[in-house]
Amino acid sequence: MKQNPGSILDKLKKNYFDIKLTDQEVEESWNRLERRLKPALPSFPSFRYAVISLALVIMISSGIATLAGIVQAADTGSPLYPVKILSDKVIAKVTGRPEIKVERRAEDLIEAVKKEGGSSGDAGRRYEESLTETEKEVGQNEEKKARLQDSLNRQEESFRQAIKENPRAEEKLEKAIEKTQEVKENLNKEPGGAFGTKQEQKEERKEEKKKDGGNNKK
Amino acid sequence: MENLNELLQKACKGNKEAYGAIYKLYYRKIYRWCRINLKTAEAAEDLAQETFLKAWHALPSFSYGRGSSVQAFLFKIARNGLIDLSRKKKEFALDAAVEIESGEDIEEELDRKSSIESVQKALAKLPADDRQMVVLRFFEEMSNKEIAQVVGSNEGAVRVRLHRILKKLKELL
Repeated sequence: MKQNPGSILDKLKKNYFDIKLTDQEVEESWNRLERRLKPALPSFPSFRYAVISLALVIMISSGIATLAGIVQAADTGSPLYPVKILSDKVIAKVTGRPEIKVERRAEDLIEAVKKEGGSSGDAGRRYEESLTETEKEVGQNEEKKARLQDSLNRQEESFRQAIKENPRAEEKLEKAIEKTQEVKENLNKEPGGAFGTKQEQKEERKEEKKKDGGNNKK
Repeated sequence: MENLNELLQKACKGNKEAYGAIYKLYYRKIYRWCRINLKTAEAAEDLAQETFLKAWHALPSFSYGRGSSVQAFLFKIARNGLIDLSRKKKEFALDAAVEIESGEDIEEELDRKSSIESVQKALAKLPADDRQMVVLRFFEEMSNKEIAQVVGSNEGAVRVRLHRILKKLKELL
């Protein structure tokens, strides 16, 4: 027998809506559910954003930490070594402790002579550069001068210890000690006068020459 | 009476009274849909309650006012619950329960049998997914867009599928 799908669907729909619940049944089921509802949860979107932000912060921080670790472990010959020097400069600037640069370069120098058995490669030159640079930065600030002085004392001691452990590196390390002592002496001298730094003495001599030249012309 | 958006906003903040109002608006629909897809009234009631319990927890993630429909949101939870139930407890699955005897006059059958049984029997030859879509489209009169939200598809795919289901139904009935 041919059946009409449209009328069957209509009948099915009618039968479907015959499934009824009374108001009382709905009320009772709500009462049962209400007892199971726990207090409100935090708003999910903001909670989700907070979790995502936190995860990002953790990922970025750990990424930076890992990178910093790799950079700090870079040897003098490594392509990352200039980044290490730059990062040390930034740290020194941010913390206001210029002596950090000297300390790090001294560590690099000791490491280099240990590894290379007497040859310090670029590390010796880098150490001397850091000394000159730091000495300039410290200037006449008494607090910074005192800190640098302490730091230089420690470096000198470390270098002497390193010579004992690695006698082949004596020449290189003695040179570093010599430069360290030179800077220490400069720090102890009074600014300007006869006790000024070599640089200051040079500048004074230049000025005197200029003056003399001027007088002769006259 | 407060409008649905106001109720949703309050319910999202944990207002049980507002959620109660939403419950009373949609419980019958969800229960009916569960009832037609499950063998017993108890199982249907349990699934409907679980649906609203899960919806309460998921409500803060519901993006009202962005074209999302509350009933699609609820039906989606109910549908997922039904899928879980069918996996865990095979005895709840409707598929094996009802079959139409060949040569039987369905219109007569519809008159003779109880409402639930008649609808279940008439739709029994359709796969579960298709059966659910028929109920949502032709009985609950939901839009293709809402059905797409329920079944996790797109509007176009739902339109095409419903066309095929209807064609199949004509052959079956």
